[in-house]
Order: sequence, then C-alpha cells, then structure tokens
Amino acid sequence: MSQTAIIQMIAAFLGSLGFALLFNIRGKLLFWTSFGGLLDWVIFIFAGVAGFSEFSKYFLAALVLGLYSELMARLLKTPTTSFFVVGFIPLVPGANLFIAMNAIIVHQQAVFYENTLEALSVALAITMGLITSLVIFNIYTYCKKPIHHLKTKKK
Amino acid sequence: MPLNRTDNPEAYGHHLLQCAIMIGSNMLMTGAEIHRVEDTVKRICLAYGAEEAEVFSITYTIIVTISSKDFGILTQTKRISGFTYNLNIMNALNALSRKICQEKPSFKSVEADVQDILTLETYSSGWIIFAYALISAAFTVFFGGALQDALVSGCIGVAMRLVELPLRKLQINRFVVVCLCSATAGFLAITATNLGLGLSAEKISIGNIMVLVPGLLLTNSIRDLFADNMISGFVRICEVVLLSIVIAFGFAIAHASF
Repeated sequence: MSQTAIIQMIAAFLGSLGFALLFNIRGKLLFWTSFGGLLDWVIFIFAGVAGFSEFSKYFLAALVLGLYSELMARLLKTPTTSFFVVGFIPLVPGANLFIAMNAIIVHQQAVFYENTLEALSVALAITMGLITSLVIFNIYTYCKKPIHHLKTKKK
Repeated sequence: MPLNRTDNPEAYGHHLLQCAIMIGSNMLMTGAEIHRVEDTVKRICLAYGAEEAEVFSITYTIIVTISSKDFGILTQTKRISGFTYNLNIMNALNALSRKICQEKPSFKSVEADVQDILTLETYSSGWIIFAYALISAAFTVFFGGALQDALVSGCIGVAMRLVELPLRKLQINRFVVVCLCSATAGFLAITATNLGLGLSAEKISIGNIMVLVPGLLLTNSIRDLFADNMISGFVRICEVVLLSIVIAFGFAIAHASF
C-alpha cells in the first residue's frame, strides 16, 4: 500500500470528523461516526488493490459502511442516521462534480460529460451499496424474529 | 393540573397529539429521515393508548390522526420550517421516544424533557470555524493536493465561515449565502495561487467545495426515496441539485472576475 493511500485514509477520517463537528455530534460518537468515514475509504483502497473496478469499489465501500452503521446503531443504541451521514462524506463524488462545474464555466463539453457520468455512476454504486446493506439487515431481523417469538411462547 | 384520561378524554387526546408532534417535528428539523419521524410519532401515540394512529409526514409538514373509543377521532398538523442539522438533539429525542414507549411518563415531564433536549449545548463558533478549516484542508489532501495547498484551503475555510456568519445573521436567503460563500472561496483560491501561496487553485477549491456540498441532504434523500417516501425524497434531491447549481454559479462569478 502506497504512502498516498495512507495519507488519503487519514484525510478521510479528518474530513468526516469535521462534518461530525458541524452536525453537533458529541462524545464518543464523534469518534465512531468519523471512523465510518475511515472504514469505507480503507475498504475502497483495499478493493482497489484486489483489482475491483471503480464501480465495485464504491459499491463495496458503501455496503460495508451500511453494515457498519446498522451494527454500531445497535451497539451504541443511537439512530443509524449519524453513522450514515458522516461516514458517507468521503464517498461523495465532490471532485467530479467540481471539475464538471468548472468545465461548464470554461466550455469544455467533453470534460463535463465525462465527470458528470462518473459522478452519476458513483452515486448509483453508493446507492446500491446502501440498499444492499439495508436488505441484508432486513433479512437478519426477519430471521431473528420467529425465533424470538418461539422463545416467548414457550414461557 | 395533571390531565386525567377518564375525566377529560378529549383534552387528554389533544395533549397526547401535541407531545407526539413536538417530538416528531423537532426530529425532522434536526435531520431525521421521514420514515423515522413517522415511526416515532406512531409509536408514541400507540404507547399512550390511542387505538389507531395515522401519521403522514413530508419534508414540510406532519399530519397525525389518532382515534380511540373515549376521545373519538382527533387530528393535528404542524408546518415545519427552519432546518438546523443537529444530530445530537435528534439522537437525544430518539432516546427519549424509546423511554416514553417503555415507561409512559406524564405529558408534563415529557414536555420538560423535550425543552431540556432543545437547549442542549452546541459547539461554540470557534469549533465550527475549526471544523470548516479541518474539512477544507482534509479534502484538499484527500483529492491529491499538496500540504501547502491544504494550508491555504484551511485558511479559506475560515474565511468562508467569517463571510457566512454575518450573512446568516442578516437572514439573507440561504441560497444566496451559499453562492457568496463559494464565490469567496473561488476568488481567494485563485488569488492565492496567483500570489504563489498555493500550487493548484483547483485542488484548493475542491477542499472548500466539500464544506458546501449538502452531504446530509443527499444521504437522507436517497434513504427517503428507497423507504417509499417519494415526495420528500424528490424534494430533497431538488434541493441538492439547486444547491449544486448555486455553488457552481458562485465559482463562475469568481472566475469571471479574473
């Protein structure tokens, strides 16, 4: 793993931490929400090392973030929203959007199309990742319920 | 005087609605998704003995109808305006609603609890300025900028907050505020690179833009859409698009001035 990758991970954590501060998250949650931002970028980098495509990298990162959020929400008894919202930040295709906007100003159509398309595909990958994690947790809670029912009925 | 359900069921029902809506609307205003708000309000109503509770919420309003044999059918609505994203308050309200459903405290104590939660401490303006600088610098590095660029970007982050704060106090339209912020950021980034302080105006600006990008709105709108709350989801998506256009327009102003 290159040095830039490690620097990027640290930057992802600090950037997420900044947003956690903006959203007035406090105490130990401040760390655990920002850690989500670090986690999804670590996944992103490792997926890149493993040779996944750009789309799959974002998909996997969002999927892990989703699972992490649901898990931490249950462990810390806090709504998933905080983890989602903060952890999501490094995945936002900010650079593509910015370059696309810049391209409008300087009339570079090709650059505009390329970056807009990339931003859209990233958004799609992230959405699919989040939805997949939601589905996994739906199945998990569904599987858990009947067992719970049986236990209470036996009493 | 504590309200007694058997003496005055209608007043009891109205008080119940008031409490439930107060919690729901504050959750919505501080950054909760629609599904969470509807679910919370419904649970509270049912916990306090409503036989049925119909809750409908979109980004700007909550409508709740509860029915029971003793107080009949009651409805209240609340118009929601002024969003301040404060997840600390949202988390506290969520915890309170869990407590309500388990312990069913009196309405008086619920109202007192909500008031306490709404006055929970927020970060001082110094911390917010620090957060702006931190986000700007971190994302400049994140998107491949040099350390020198990160420092410039951090300083511009501080300047953005200093521009934003008085404009917010004057209650200027929030889209205009965002536009002026991004214009300031663009202008300072180009000036700094022309003076030789920064290496790449583009990398500096990418960091600054991340402060303005409505990440919370975007995440919540996606979750709203996939939780079958189409109206609110699309309303928020529109807001995201509009904000992005406004940010771009601000940068265009900055570029045009050189």
